[in-house]
Amino acid sequence: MIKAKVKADNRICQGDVIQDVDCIETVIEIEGIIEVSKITFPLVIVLTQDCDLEQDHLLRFEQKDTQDKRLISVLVAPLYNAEHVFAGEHLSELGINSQLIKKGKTPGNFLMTNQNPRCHYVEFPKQVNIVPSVIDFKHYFSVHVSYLQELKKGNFICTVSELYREDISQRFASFLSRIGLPNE
Amino acid sequence: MDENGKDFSEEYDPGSVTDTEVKNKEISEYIPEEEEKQEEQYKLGKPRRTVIRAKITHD
Repeated sequence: MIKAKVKADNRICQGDVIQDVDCIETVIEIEGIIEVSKITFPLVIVLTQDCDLEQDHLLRFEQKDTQDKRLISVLVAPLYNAEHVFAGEHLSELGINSQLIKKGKTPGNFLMTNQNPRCHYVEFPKQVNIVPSVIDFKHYFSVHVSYLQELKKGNFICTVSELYREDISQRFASFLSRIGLPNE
Repeated sequence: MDENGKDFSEEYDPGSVTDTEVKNKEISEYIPEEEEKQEEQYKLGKPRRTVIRAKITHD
């Protein structure tokens, strides 16, 4: 079980868990009709390094000659209900079928002990009202800083404590920097 | 003018989509597509897709 704090900082922090976050898929305009397609994720966790987030926050309130440390966006990854992941149906509403992962068997055990490089299994403490969840590193996406800052005011759930958030970030970086080799 | 002597200066009109036109666009209608089932599943923790269509009108 991880440790988490339910008190929110006034800025976006690495490890923040925020609910109802939109990911814009497409914006198309055809003959006077604008169509916006978006995916709303019930829960996401912030993966961007905290020092970057802190510098960005400071620069937004300080007048400096250079603003080169301002961020364009924040990296987040979705948290899925672990039971849905095991059942292979966590993306069913997006029309995506996933592989069944049997609990108690090797794939399930690998996932729950964080030996599957793509996923990070988390169980939250009692004071955080979130079911056991799986962070899927392959589904990371970025959101604009201002959007997330505003959203955090009403949609903050908790922030994962430092040791655990660093573990998540290191596993994410490791997954992202993997080298795919050919099967044959 | 390019190497063939063609003059693009008249074709290129940076003001062809003007700020005024953009400002005059107004979202007059939008139709969120929501389904009850999807809402229930969302509450259980599954992400959902929403498509919003808006008609743009010009003054």
